[in-house]
Amino acid sequence: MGVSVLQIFPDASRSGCIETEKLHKRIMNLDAVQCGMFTVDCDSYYTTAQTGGGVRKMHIVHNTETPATTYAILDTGSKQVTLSADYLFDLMLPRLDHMYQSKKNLKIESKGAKYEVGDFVVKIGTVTMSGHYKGILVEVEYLPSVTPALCWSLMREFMQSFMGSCVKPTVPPYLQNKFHDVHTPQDTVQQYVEKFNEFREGPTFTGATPSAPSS
Amino acid sequence: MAAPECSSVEVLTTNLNSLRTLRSSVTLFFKIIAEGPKEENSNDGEHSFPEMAAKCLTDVKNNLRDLETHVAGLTPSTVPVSLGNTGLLSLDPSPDKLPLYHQLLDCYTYVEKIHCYSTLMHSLLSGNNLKRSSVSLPLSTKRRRPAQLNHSVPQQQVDMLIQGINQMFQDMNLNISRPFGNNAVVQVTLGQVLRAVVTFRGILIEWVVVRAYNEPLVDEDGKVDLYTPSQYKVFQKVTDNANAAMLNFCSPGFSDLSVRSFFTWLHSFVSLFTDVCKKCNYHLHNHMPPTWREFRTLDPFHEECKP
Repeated sequence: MGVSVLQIFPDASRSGCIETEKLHKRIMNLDAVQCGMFTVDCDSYYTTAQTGGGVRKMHIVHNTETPATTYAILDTGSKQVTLSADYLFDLMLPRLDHMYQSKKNLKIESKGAKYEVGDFVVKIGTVTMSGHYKGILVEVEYLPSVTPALCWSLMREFMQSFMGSCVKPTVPPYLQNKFHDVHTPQDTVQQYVEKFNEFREGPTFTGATPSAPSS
Repeated sequence: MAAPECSSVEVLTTNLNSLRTLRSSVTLFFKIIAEGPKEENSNDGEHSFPEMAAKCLTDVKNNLRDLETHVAGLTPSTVPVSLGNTGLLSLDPSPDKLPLYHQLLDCYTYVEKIHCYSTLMHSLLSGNNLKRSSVSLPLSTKRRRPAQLNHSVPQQQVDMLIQGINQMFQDMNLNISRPFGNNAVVQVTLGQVLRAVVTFRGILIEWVVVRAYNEPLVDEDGKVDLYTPSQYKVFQKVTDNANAAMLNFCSPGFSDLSVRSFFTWLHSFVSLFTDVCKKCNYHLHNHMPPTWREFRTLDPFHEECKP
């Protein structure tokens, strides 16, 4: 398990497939090897009225990289608590329906192809929310390193090489908070939840038009 | 405690004496038989030969009876006799069935000679490299074996050397173990960047494997894994370069200095992912960070940017 960074790739054409094709072509020029598909999906549950207190969210996330694990992330607004459980945790959720109820139209997933470039793993995902296209989310993982502090600038250079200037030179806030900690699969999943929330709430197509890669 | 021991020793001595008498009388009997009847004084020899033989035989019989009575008086020892390692001698396989021992011996002699010659050559070449033609060392110096060979140094010396290196660097942790008897295996943890296994033979570095920080140092059996290469391309390359550096730093004359310079070189990989290449000023080339460190200056370079 290396260090993962997520990046929203701006899609001005709003069609999805043209931009993913472009990314596919660029990454293949870097001697990438395509090695299968991946899916990360996220269901959101809200507390029901009778539990009292403020409304709290719970995100249930599955990642095909860790197929035997279900992640439950309790989102209180200011703080996030992650629970990594066995896959059978899903069967327990219907029993909790007096406390947490699912919002069906908020189911969001990122799905796409996975590439290997040297020691990097690149996943170019198309994000869809209940069937509607929302944008492109790229995950870059650097396997040999364990802490973001050691390899961030190296990863930024790699990401800029095929995504261009949409990669900001500053460290993403989530990684900044855990800059010197050992990266875990939970960190990857929490970043996905963060990005999915951006897709749900904000304007879908952020950023400027994609520019040519620097190298 | 002493008295019975003393008496038993006396009894044993008398037993041995009677045994000796028996043997000498048997030898005498055979000698008479072998010589046969004497011919020069045949008139009394004909009488004496069978008589003498019969007399000897009765001696033998008497001596044997003595011995038997003495032996009956002996008590067998109750304490088992410990033979130590000599007890294993009976287990030694015959060398003509199993040639392993001789092969090992040949191999050992060969390696010993190589180390011996390299040490001699090193002292010769470093002595006067300007006057190549007139190497005039006295013959006795050539013939003399070096006092101490690099591959057979006491354990304490290696331990002290590793301890010294361990204290030189704060972020590099060395852990020494000896899973194969005398030769040391050093497990190195360098920050949160890498882990390495350095195998020693005496005070010479024999083999280096570098792996990622999150890859295990031990195999399934819980032993130190000396051979499995890293699954990441970066560390496979660093392993190759570390072995090259180990050979570069190796010098038979100053072996502890060579070990120290190797670990100093290895320590420079603490910034493997953060340093940019000195030549091209980029982190990545061919999707690899700068995996080469210059031997003297420790400057980072990509494999392709090496000077």
